Amino acid sequence: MSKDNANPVVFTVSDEETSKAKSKLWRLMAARAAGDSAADSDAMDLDNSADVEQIDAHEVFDLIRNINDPEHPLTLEQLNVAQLRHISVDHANSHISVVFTPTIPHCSMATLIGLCIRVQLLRCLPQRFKVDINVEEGTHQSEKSVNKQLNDKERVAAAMENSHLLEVVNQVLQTQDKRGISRILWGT
Amino acid sequence: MSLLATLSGHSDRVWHAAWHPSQLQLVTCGGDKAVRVWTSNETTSTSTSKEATWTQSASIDDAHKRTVRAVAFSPDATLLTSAGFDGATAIWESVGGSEFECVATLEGHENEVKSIAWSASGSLLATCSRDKSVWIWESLGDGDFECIAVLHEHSQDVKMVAWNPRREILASASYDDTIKIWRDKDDDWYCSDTLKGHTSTVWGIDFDETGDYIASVGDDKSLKIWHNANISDAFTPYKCISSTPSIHTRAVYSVSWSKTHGKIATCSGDNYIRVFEVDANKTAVKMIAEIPNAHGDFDVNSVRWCPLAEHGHLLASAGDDGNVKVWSFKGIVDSNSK
Repeated sequence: MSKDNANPVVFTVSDEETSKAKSKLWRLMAARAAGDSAADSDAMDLDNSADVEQIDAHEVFDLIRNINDPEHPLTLEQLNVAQLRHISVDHANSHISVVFTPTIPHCSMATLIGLCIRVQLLRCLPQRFKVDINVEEGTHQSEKSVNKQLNDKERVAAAMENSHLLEVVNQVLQTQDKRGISRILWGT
Repeated sequence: MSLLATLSGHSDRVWHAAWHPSQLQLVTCGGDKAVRVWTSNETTSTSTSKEATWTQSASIDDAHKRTVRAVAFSPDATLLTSAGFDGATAIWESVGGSEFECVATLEGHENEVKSIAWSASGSLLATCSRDKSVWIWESLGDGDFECIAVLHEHSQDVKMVAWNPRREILASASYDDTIKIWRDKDDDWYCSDTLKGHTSTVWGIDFDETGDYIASVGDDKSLKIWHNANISDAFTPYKCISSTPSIHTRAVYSVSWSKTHGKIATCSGDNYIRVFEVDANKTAVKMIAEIPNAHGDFDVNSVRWCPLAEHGHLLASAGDDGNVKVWSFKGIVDSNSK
């Protein structure tokens, strides 16, 4: 199968950025995967206690930066599909907005990439967060329809019951394996 | 609004709650693939001081192979119907006690069935699906159904169907941002009107008690009221006579227009339930009550006013928290007792 964008521009991921990948949520998942039972009570604290560290854009970025592109052996961060500056978090009002940038305006994978981001955040964030996922304005020819689909909870719920699609999404998200946290995410 | 009961039992989000046509009973459904029936022990009419006890009186586990998106009692309450993401519509009959038996499965939709609605007489059942179609089935009795129309004019996912309470006129709401009106002429069903005005998915529609007005809500967060000046004439179009923007801060998933007292209830992904009063001409709405965090931190997926005159103040809601709640709208109880 020919790829939509055979030669994507690869962006250098700075070490400094990578070293910041130690967000509370990330540490929590890693700890749980390592069998640390204290992590579960941490999870409760994270959602219930008022004085815990607030979830910020860095944390959310950490959760999606290493998602694989469906076509290339590169992460969404390396392809500049996901960028820290395009994530906003309103912790107090439980609202998160993620904007992503398809590599080319006719990318047929845009909906799948957005769905993977949504599933990843659904699985990792406290449930109270309302998440809006949109294509960066002016970067995709079907921007409106991609956005509409990604933000229709009924269609997302139906998609998640489609075993074929779920398999594809899980495959894309499996890059997380390297970090040893997949077991906790997929519950196996 | 005061909370009368929280019905817990579903193990996943609850998509819908529908009232029994003549008793204090609810049927609910959700992501756990189950259909559950809840019954109140209250038999006498309105009393606000006494809290009615609601208990789960029946459960159909694995009613569908996937999420059950919608449920409804038939108008004579002899049948329960459920619509699933598995593409099927199931017809259930009570076989005594808390047992239900599947007496028919209506198949034909290519994928998820999103909504079901019985006509007032109980002779027609409408279903709609992500496959963009609306189907009309005739109930022939004894659990026999015949498909009499397959309607293909929506260009996208059809979210909801609702029958006019007084006539055999059907309305459907879609992801294509429109509402369509369906009528039959010599047994041929056709689209007689397309209501344009919403700028995104229309999630919910409901007729008023007369059937001349329709309220609609959706992803664009507005509440619109449409009027047909001569509904018996198929050529008279609906007109949008009222549009209130931003009644919620996130998508509005459901609207219920009470047939007993005329108030409109809405619910949203912003976790609020709101109640609106409509003026005599139906051109202006005014918010008169609201419930923040009606289901905690979670989206509220559906609201339904109780159809019984003496219990018209009761509102049922279903949420992503897995709960069904029954609320009492005090403003209505008070005005009833005057």
